Amino acid sequence: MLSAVRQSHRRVFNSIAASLHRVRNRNSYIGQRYRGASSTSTSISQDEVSKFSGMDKDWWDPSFHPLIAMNPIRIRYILDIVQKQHSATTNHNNPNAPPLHNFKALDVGCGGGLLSESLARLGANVTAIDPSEALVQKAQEHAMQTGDPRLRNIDYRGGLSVEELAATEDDNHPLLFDVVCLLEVLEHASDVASLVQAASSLVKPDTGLLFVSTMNRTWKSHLLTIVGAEYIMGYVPRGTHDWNQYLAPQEVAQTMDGFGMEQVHVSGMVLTKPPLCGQWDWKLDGNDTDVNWIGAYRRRINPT
Amino acid sequence: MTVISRLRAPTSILLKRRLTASRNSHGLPLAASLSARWLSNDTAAASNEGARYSDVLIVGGGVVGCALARQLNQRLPSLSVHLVEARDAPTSKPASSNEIPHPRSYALSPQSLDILGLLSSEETTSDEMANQDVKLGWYDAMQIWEARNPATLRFHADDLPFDEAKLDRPKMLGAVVEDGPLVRALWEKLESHPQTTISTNTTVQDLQLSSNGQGVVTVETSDNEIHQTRLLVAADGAQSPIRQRLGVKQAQWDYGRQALTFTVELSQDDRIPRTAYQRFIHGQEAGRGPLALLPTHSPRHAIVVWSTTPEMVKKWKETDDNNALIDHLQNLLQTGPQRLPPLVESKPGQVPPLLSNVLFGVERLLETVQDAGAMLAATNSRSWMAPPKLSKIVSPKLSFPLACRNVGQYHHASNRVVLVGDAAHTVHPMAGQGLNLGLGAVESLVESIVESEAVGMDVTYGLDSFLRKRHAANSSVIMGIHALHEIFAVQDNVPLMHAKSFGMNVMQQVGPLRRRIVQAATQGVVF
Repeated sequence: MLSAVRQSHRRVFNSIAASLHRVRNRNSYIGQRYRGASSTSTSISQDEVSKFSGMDKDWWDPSFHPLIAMNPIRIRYILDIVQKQHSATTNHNNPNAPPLHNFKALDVGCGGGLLSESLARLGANVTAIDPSEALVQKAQEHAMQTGDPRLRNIDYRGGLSVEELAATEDDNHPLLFDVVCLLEVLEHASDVASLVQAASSLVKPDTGLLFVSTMNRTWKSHLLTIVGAEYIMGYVPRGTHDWNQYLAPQEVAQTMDGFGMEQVHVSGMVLTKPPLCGQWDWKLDGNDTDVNWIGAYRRRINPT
Repeated sequence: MTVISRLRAPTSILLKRRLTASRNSHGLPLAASLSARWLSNDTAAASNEGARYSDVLIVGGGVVGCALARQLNQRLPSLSVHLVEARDAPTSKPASSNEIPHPRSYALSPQSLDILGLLSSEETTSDEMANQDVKLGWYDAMQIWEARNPATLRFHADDLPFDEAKLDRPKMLGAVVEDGPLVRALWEKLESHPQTTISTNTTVQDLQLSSNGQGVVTVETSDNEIHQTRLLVAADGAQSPIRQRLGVKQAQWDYGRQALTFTVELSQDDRIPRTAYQRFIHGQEAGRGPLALLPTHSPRHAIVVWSTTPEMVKKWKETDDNNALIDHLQNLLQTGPQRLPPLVESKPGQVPPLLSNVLFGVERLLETVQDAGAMLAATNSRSWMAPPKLSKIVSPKLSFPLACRNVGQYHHASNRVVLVGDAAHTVHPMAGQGLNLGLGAVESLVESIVESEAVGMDVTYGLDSFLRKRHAANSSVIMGIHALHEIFAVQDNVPLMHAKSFGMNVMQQVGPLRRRIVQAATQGVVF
């Protein structure tokens, strides 16, 4: 018992030490991560795929609550930005139409289908991809199981990376989406630049939006998501997150910029109260992007 | 196909399963063991070809079931709703407009009237229920008294806070609404809605949950249909077959009482004061228990609800001598509050003269304190007022048993089954809160579904927190009514009677307290 505790302490210490090391070498580190950006590579990390494929059983288990509880505010954010973007261009003839009626949406790294199902319920035609075949199969089963007819048309594609999807488009039949989502994905990707490049190439040029949510690389996020959530409280399995993979909004904006995308808006996502008794209550907070954050990007009108 | 044939289990197996249900002490393991036996492959059930899908399946087309379907139609028009009703559809309006109100009526709070769309407001559209279809017997005062207690409780709508938004409405504590026209009006709205389907003369034969609770609920009905739904709502009454099928336990206090109810014609030709009367009766021969006289939409009629011993109910229900019953009740209703029996009974000769003088003084002092309330009330014109006189009984006499029951929670089986209305709880009718509690839960349920739909989550999401809050609020009301019943049932304990009388006087005379009580009873404000 004692040795187990000691061991876990040592792991925490090692993890913190490694992080500090990374912070010191931040500049070279980012370069290293982005160096792999090339048109043929894939951003999929095989370790991550096998890690999350192992979670296919309990993906929809309420004990996987932090992410399920976060979903409503991610959706609120997406709807809010979409409405602002489209208020001028579209006028809904049917007031009863769902908010994403006739929208084409792409969910990159769909996992168990949490986001895909929500987008589909809100009226979008959803394409959902994930490198893990096992997870996508689980997602497909779940969508059928809930019986909701709106979920029957989700186009689930397992074992597919966004780069591979982008490669299927040709100039005559461009594969373009109104909404592309990279939510809680960047921190698990081996090559962020390649992922962002491929995803941004799938965004409709004029009105399309790309959404990103991930975690910021700050001492606060380390304390809360690694030390707190994984080691002390055990809310999520240890090793779910790698703090070194977290990204600051500025870093993502910079990467986006390289691929002709501009930032529309960025907001933090914070817990309203400590998650005691399994009550995860999230809210959007425009000022606090220290831990979880979500942002929207669009194609720059005049690429410079 | 194999799943369908497995669904149609022979009755003997169903019966055996129900028996196991009654022995099972935990609700949910039963459901889990059932589904394990019945359904090995969830996806097979989900792709069940012959099944009819609806987003929400409501069992029971009474006021609560219809109100839920109506609210869902209004707030989420694209949601598909299916209603299963065991009886026939309500008959359309009788040709000869019968002016005598039926005793099957409810006392509804302003909040409940709002949920049912019965209060006219500025935003009233033609879509709203026309008020001429459902008539309100509204009241703005309530008088509660006992014979052997000088204190009278008189609540008035003036105790409600001023609300500018509701200036155009009559200021009321509540209204008595007939069941028939109310259900008929709701039903007509449901029938015309494109996303709502109704099966009449249909009962649920069996239901089946998916093994992990995430999947649809499959329901087999007596018309040989198989339904699949994301949310099954049981509004199927106090004997709810679905509650029993799930093995959900209820906390229960049986009062060993019954209620007798009928409509009376009033002897005076003038209008009935818009007051709900309630007298608590003591004594075996009079028929102990509360006796209520409620106004109706007809100024010449009132509804009597008498909660008393089963022997009394049997005697008066079976009698042909309705005049004797009217005389009996007339006598009880026309008797105002009287003095309490003395707290300390001084018997001359038993105590020394000096002490007996002291006791006499104490007794007078106590009496003055107790009567002061009544005297103060008289100066505020809130003293006891005699109810209108009864002339004759003009409806069939109905009776129903009384019990206080409550389930531990409204949602079950991974939030895919919800119990509402009498299926979840019943209360003593003395406070007229039974349907109000059910409609409150309907409001919470709809609110929760609207919220989860707004962010594209499954209906089960957020259900837990909404219904948990409502359950806590409703349970405190249920316990409050139960406690009041027990307090008023006190009759032989003289010190307790004095304490009760004192408490009633405090309640009546302390304005803020009285206003708080009136608000709690009419607006669902919980202390």
